Amino acid sequence: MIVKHTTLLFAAVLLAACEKSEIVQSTPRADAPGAALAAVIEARPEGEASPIHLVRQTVQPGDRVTVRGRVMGNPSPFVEGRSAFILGDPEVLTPCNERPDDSCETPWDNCCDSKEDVQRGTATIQVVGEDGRVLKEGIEGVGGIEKLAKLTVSGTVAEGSSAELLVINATAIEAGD
Amino acid sequence: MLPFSYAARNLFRSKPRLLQTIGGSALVVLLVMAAVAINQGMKRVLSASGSPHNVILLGAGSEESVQRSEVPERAAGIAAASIPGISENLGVRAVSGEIFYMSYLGLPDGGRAEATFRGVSPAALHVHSEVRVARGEFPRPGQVMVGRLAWRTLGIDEDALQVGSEVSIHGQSMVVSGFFAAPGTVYESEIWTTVGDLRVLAQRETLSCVVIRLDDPADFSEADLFAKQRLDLELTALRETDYYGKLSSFFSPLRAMVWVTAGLIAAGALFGGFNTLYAAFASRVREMGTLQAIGFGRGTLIWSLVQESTLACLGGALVASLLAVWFFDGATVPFSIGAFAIEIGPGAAIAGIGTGLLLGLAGALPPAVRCLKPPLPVALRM
Repeated sequence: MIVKHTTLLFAAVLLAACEKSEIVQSTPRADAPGAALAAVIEARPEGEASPIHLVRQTVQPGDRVTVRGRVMGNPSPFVEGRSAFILGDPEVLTPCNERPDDSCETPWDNCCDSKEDVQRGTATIQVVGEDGRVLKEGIEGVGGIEKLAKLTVSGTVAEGSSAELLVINATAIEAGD
Repeated sequence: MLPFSYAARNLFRSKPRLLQTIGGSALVVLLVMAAVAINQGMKRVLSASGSPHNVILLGAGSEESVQRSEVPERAAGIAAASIPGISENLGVRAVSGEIFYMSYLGLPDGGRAEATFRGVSPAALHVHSEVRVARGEFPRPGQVMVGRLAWRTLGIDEDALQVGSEVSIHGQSMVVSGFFAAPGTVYESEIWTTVGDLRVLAQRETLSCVVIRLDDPADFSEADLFAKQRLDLELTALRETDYYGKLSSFFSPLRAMVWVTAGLIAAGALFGGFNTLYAAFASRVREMGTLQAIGFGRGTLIWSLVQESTLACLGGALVASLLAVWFFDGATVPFSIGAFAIEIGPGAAIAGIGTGLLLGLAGALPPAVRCLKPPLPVALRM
């Protein structure tokens, strides 16, 4: 009797202790986006989309580019409370859940890809206001922009971008294939 | 209704049994109070170590372990120049590039003990505002500053290290420049030295993290934006409170084990107490039968037996509380990333009294029911 009770107690405490760790994620917004963000979502990307890993080798700050990719490359690809996120190159990166026998709960972090691939296969997409600063409103959930969503983005390569670092000030974002 | 004095007087009918009940319940209550105090202490030290104003920039992919994290040296300067809303003190931005390193500290007596080292610059005092230099001075090259509770994690006497004592890291002689306090945080168990010295001793070319203090905690988004704009630096921005919150979750199995250990020992004491009460009440079946014969109902008799048991168990709770305050209050407990002081506060006291009450109520019911189970003619003949 005593053994049974203590075993149950032991099991209950262990089960209570085995909670899954949670990754802090930004919350998708429920309200309508501001005018500046809405304009970017409504605009259509221009020209032929290029892969991120090629674009970053050739472009200079101020160049107009159109890239295609998926929202991934980081455990929390959206910036909390800001219109910015990380776009990953599907030619370089594969979400973990699309690999056989992988049941990763956060496939958008690309933990199965090498650091070097994540480095060369990602770009920062941001929507800036007239003052040149990133809009102070979250972009997750707006116009179909979700984790792992396929996006086509047109915009201008931001100042400070280089072969190691690609930041695009988006002027048009379109979700879907 | 039987008078309360009947239950109180009955307690002293068998002093050995009374002592057994008090001792058993005291042990259970003491274990519960210790488990509550240890859990609260560990949670408190981890939550107090993170400031809502602080953001930690860690190497991407090392969000759960600052020791494994690698951040380029230049990240501190770039972050200071790029992130708006960083606190300033006399024109100095509160940005602290730090190295964490776990290794052995050579002690003055020739022994050595495992220690957590933090390589810092004076900016660390702006960022970790709870840290105060209590004795001596902030370390310069070739010196270390020792946390107030480091002696506990080092497993040495409290006064084994003094200002001016000579210690060593990897054979490199260092002098203790001072001691610092950071009440209720894990920093107090650390040993701080200059980031330059630790970079050489740990043979690192990178920082472990960059800690930033913001004027407004809501500006975390600016730090998060910086980390995601500067993908070349491979950074992740975490609120310091979230970092220590995750550490707290990491230690939850350890806290659960405290409860399991306390629970297993308490279970033994609890069932021992049951046996004592079964034996005590079994010898009073006739007395209970007589009381029923003169008109007292079974409910009244159960209530009197419960009163008796509750009084004994609360006596045990009182003994346990005194022992807990005497032995545990203020004691420090080391764990892998620091040490914390046990505090027998209201939480532990309420848990102790509650356990005593529960033991008295629940522990008396099964033996009391069994004692009153025989029919009256049978009970009177026993």
